[in-house]
Parts: sequence; structure tokens; C-alpha cells
Amino acid sequence: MRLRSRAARNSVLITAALALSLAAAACGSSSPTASSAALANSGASGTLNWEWELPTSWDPVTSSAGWDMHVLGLVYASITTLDPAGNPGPGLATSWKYAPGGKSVTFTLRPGLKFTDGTPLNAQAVKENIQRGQTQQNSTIASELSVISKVVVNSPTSFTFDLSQVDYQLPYLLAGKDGMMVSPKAFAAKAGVNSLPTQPVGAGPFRLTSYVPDSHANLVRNPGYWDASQIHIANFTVQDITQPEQILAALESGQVNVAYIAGNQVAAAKAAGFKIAVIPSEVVNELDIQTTTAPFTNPKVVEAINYAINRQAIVQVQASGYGTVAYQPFPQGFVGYSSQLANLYPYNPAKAKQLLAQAGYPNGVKITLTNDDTADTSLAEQIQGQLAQVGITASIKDIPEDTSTQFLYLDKTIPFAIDGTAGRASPVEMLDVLYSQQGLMNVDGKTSTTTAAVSQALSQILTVPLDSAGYPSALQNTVATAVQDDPIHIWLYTNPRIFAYSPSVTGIPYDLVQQRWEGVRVAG
Amino acid sequence: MTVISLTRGDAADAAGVVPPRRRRGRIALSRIGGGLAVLVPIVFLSSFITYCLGALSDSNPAATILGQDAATPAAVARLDKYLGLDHPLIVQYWNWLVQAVHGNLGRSYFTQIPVSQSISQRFPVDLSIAILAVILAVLIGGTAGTVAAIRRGGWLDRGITAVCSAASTLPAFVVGIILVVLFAVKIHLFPANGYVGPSAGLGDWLSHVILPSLALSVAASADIARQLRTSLVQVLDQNYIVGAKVRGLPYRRILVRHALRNATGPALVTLGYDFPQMLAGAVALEVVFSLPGLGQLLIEAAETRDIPVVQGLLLVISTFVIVVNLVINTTLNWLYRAGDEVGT
Repeated sequence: MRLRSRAARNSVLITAALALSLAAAACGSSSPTASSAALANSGASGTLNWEWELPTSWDPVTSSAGWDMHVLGLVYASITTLDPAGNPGPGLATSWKYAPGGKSVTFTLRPGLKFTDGTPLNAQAVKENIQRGQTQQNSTIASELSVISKVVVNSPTSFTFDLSQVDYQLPYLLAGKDGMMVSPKAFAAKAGVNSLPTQPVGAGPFRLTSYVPDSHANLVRNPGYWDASQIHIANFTVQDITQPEQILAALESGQVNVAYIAGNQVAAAKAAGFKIAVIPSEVVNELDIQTTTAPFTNPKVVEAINYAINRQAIVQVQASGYGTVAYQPFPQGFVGYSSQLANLYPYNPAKAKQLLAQAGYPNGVKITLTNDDTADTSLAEQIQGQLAQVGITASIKDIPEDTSTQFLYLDKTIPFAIDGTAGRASPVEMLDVLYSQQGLMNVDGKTSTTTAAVSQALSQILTVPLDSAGYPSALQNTVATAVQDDPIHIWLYTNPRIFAYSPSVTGIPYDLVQQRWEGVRVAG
Repeated sequence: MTVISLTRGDAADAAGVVPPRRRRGRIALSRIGGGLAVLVPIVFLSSFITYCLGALSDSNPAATILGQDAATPAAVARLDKYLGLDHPLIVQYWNWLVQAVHGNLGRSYFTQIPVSQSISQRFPVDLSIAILAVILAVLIGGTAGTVAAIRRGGWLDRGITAVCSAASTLPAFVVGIILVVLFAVKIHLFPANGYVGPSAGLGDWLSHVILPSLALSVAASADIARQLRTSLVQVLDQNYIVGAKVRGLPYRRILVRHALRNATGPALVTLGYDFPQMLAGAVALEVVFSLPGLGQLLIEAAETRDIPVVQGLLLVISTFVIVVNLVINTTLNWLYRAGDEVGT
């Protein structure tokens, strides 16, 4: 599964030409112009031109990429929101309260909410949204919402979710695409549902005014957004620039004033006078390893691979040093980060050789490493080189990206593969996908069962209230149990979101999960 | 008694002699008929082969759409049914064909956007760049070729010939990058990339398409300049040109009304063959300039096996290429015949 990270490409000529010109012309970007409409926006001004990938669909129910949440969050408000550290807090709902036993939860909405088409955003609208997410035939969020067995409208500002099992993680889930509210008027008719992928109607900080797929989207501030007082940008554009090398040119020419760049572009962007924000994220690279297939059936082989990999060297080469070595799915600073795993497998090729010998492979072993990113094989080649140093001969097998979901997650026929994940709103949902028996990224799945300790830990953590004092340690223990007892993922490194931005832009928040724009200002 | 009045044409037909204009009309019609006879089976066969290749590719669009979180076997089966992928291949193809014949190209599996909408949004991007590139190529190449011919043997001629030789070897994407560095990064004259339609303002549209068009026109300009120079040099040596000079006709009139008119044929042929290639070149330039054209759509659709989009693009692109070739061949044929008839 290819991650949406700004990878360094091999167009040396292009990069060099642009870097030289940027360095020579280091004079800042031109200021974007605020439209007259912006002036009417109660103090909001300026245009933020953001280079970022446009969504697969503007409909959160049919969007087919987790990455879409960053852009969808511009037009949709969610029932809850995540704070910079990834913890759920008020959103459209001011508060929530679980019933004793945890099998239902009641939310209280802010009064007087409206979608941008004027439709009231009340408890009935929430009910219709949840039902659409659960029942629309091409919904990509149906399985996540399946925990909600019934939605009860108590009043225009109060609704209750009855749950099929105790699940205190729901507030997390409702901060993402699952909780993004779409105007019921927009999906009442089939024509409306069909138009949502290009004509969203939400209640988020901005309203989409025009959209050209694969090119750009223009948005204006939505004064009716519940937190509009924190939105200081009058106009917002999202520009999708396909070639990383062209992004610096777009910055320098003033076309964009905030751009997502690769680690190897930081120096050129700095030299051109741009500011840099390195924002920690949940995007993490890893290797999937099927411990039911030889030679990985021997735990010492898996351990040897863990010790054979020089993660710091990988961060240096793959991300120019802008990343963090990882031994677990969550980054430092997140509530689920387990300090027990902080240095779980320090690079130790001698120990790796010793473990291989103990496993019965004193003369080395041959394995196949599957790579689905055929456009960039550098990570596969680097891992191949590191494994070779301890006597593991890895042959690289490239497969088309669009077949990996089928072979890796559904058929589970790939024993050893490069993979990655962009994180989830809910940490338990993430762990469930990665380690539970039914989790798609549990590549062992079909032929083995998750260990009892891991299964129990995953079930148990759902029953721990988020506001209980024991929640952080319980979650961290669950992470430690899953990573150590079920070593089907070899964690490599986390990828930060790196933004290069014009000095005219201030206040970019460091959000771990979803990029937000509250408090951001554009001068001029 | 019935009086039958024969018109001139009828009389000519009756005598077995078809007037030139009508003959040309018939030839044009037969060529169009021939073109359609080629188009239909090509589109039919290629679309069927594409469908089969997609099925053989092992990819599973429903699984890809649902991804790491939701691609459970049950969810995949449900989405397969929704997308119509649960039917046998031949039934899937037939369903698509029937819809396509009725003008419905379906919706993208991944974006849910109607294919016809995607294509109609993107086709003008490539077409406008290609057409502007042709105009620029004619202006630049025509001027350079003419100047080189009338300054034959001089430093200007040698300079133009050398520049043309170099320019014709430069791929459009390399020229594109150079233009971005010069005109967008250095002097901020044009945007580095992106596209806005003419509806946003003619100036704004032109500022976005000028650099890709210029990049695309360079090789064609060089081709036109070299062809025009060669043929113009030959024409300028002809006796009738010498005669015109002896008679004291102004040189500009000799050049424009006599020499250029007879020397443009090879350059036009070059342009005719270059135009479809320019369209393909525009597709390559989409990457350099981040243009939302057909090329990006095709690459994304092929990577994800978004069959409705691939099929729709195949239909539109193959139809366009065949129609353009037909128009160019018919036009060139008409030009040469007209020339022959004038000559006789």
C-alpha cells in the first residue's frame, strides 16, 4: 500500500535546476490577493493556497482514501474534533456522556447549527447521515459505523447511539470521515448523492465554490461554521501539483503559499526564504511479515530481521533525516505511544547473525520481499542491502499497487512485504486493523489465530473510558502486548508532514492526525 | 410529352464526365465513409481487448476502494455487485457497450464522477494547448524558415539551421522545465503550473497555457522552418520567380503571392503529421505543468483499473485521432489536387 508521503524522486536534473534558480532568486513569494468577498468576512482576509492532494471524492461516505480527511475537513465539520495531540474534543457536539455499562452514548449538539445550504444541522440530520453511511451500497465507512446499532433522536440538539458492544472509542471515530456531516438535503435524492463527489455541502470552515479534478479547488470561508471566529482566512485554494520538483517552483512563483514537500527539498526551500514546519504525523512505514510461512515461522528469524534493519539509515536515505525511527504504530507524543518499546530492536547485525544461526540458518537464508510501489523501489533496495549484510538474501518482487489489497490483505498470499499506514482517528481501530483476528492488515489471518493475550487486550481496551485515569496506560500496554506478542509488523519510521510556507502565513497548527486551519492567518 | 431538363452536372454525368468539384466532393465523402468503416471496428476491438486485459490484471477495484479498513470479503462482494463486477466478463462488457452506444459512459469506480464529465472537462485542456502550439509553430517556424531562405548562405541562415537542428532534438518536457525556470521562477511572468479555463478570463487562461504550448511548439517550429526553408529555396530558383523579378514586381509580392504559396506544401504535410503527436505531447506535458488533462486521467485510471474511465478515454481518443487523421488527409489531398488542377 503506497503511502501518501512526499517521496524524493529521481529527477536529479529537474531538482537541481529548480534548486539553483530558487537559491538565486531567494526573495519570498508574492502576496496572494484577497477578493472583495473576503473583506466582508468579519476580519478574515487573504488567500491561503495550499499544495496538497485533492480528494478521491468530496463525499466522506464514498471517499476511498484515508488521506482525504485532510481536505474533506475543509468543507465538513465532524461531530467531535481531535486536538493537536490526537485526543477527541468538542466539535459539532459540545459534549457526550456514556450510559453506565458503555453500551450507549448521548451527544449534545450546539444549538442553531446550519449547513451551507441553510438546512438545519440537528440530531435528525445526524441520524440520516449515520444511516446513509451504514446503508449506501458503495459506502466505504459502513464497517466502521457498524458498531452503532441504533440512533435515537432525543431532541433537536441531543441524540443517542445505541452500540452493538461496549466501545468507548466512538468519540475518536466521529472526529474523522465517519463523523463528517453532509447536508441531508444534498443526499435526499439520487441526483444529490451522485453530485456529492464534486459538489459537497457541509458545515465546515469553508465552502467549495469551484473544483477542477486533478487541478484545484476554490473555497471561501463559511461564516456559519461553529468555530468561525478562529478562521481568519477569507479564501482557500487546494492545488494538486503532481511533480514534487514543480512544487518549489509553484512556491517561488507565488502560486501556492503553503506546500507539502519532501525531506530532500527542505534545504532548497529554506534557501529560497520559506519557512519550514515539520509536523509529526501517524503516517508510518513498516514491513508485513507472515509468521505462518517459513522461514518466518521461526521467531528467531523475525527477530533477526528486526535487528538487521538499520532504521536510522533508512530515515536518512528515504526521508533525508526528516522522520523518526519507529518500533510501534504510534509516534511519540500520542497517548498510545508505549515507552516500553522505545528502543526495542537497536541495530545490531552481529546479534542478527547469531539469531539466524540459532534458528538453523548459519549460512544465511533466502526470502522474497514484495514491493507494490513500482515507481520508487529505493526502500526495497535499501532493506535488501541491509538484510544481505547479515546473510539474508532477499529478492525483490514488484507487484502493481492495485493488486496489493487483494493479495496482501484479502488472499493473504504475500509472506513479506513493504507496507505502511496513515493512522486512524481511533488508536484501537488502528490496532484492530493491524493485529486482531479479523483485521485486514493482520497478514497471518487465515491460517493462524491472534494470540489470546493480544485478543484479550484489544477487547479490554474498548471497555476503558477515555476520561478514566487508567486509559493512557491501558492503551500503551495494549500496544506493547500487540507489538511484542504478535510480531507480524516490523515498524520502520514515521513520516512527518513537512510544509514549506511563505513568511506571510502564520499560525500553522501542528496537528498529529488531521491538518486543521484554525488560527492561521495570511498577511497581505 | 414530358420535357426532361438536364442541368450542366447531369449532362456531364450523362456523358460520363464528372465535374472536378463534384468529383472532389465524392472523394471526400468516400474518405469519410472509409474512415468511419475503420473507426467502428477499431474502437470495438480495442475496447474489448482493454476490458479483457483489465480482467486479467488481477487487480480488484472494490478491494482497492475499500482499502485497509473496510475491504472485508463481504464488503468487497457488496461493492462488486454495486459496480456490476459480479457478472461474467462478457456480460460486463456488453452492459458497458450498450450504455456507451446510448451515450452513457458510466461513472468512475473511484471518484463517482461521470466519465463523460471528466473527459469533457479535460479534453479542452489538451486540445487548447495543442492548437495554440500549432499557431505558435506556424508563426515561429514560418518566420524562421522564410528568413533563412531569403538569407540563404548567410550567417542568419546558418544560425537558424543550427538552432533548428538543436531544437528538434529537445523533448517538450525538457523545454517545459527550462521555460518554468525562466518565466515562472525567475521573472514571475507566468504561473509555474496549473490550469484555469477561458471562463475565468482570457488573459488568465492564456497565462496558464502559453508555457506548455510554447514548449510543445518548439520541435514543430523547427520542423516547419527546415521544410519551408528547403522548399522556398527551390521555389526562389524557379524561372518564373526570376521572370517576376525581371519584370520589376516588388520582392515582397513575389515572395508572398508566388514563392510562399508554392513552397508551403511540405511544411503543411509536416504540420499535418505533427498535430496528433502534439496532442500526445500535450499529455506528456501535463505532468510537468500539473495540467488536469486526459493523460493524468488515463494514468490514474489504468493504475487503479478504473475500467469505465479507461474505456471512455479509449473511445474518445481513438475517435479523435482517426477523425483528425481523416481531416488532415482529406485536406492535404484536396490541396494537392487543387494545385495539380491549377497546374494543368
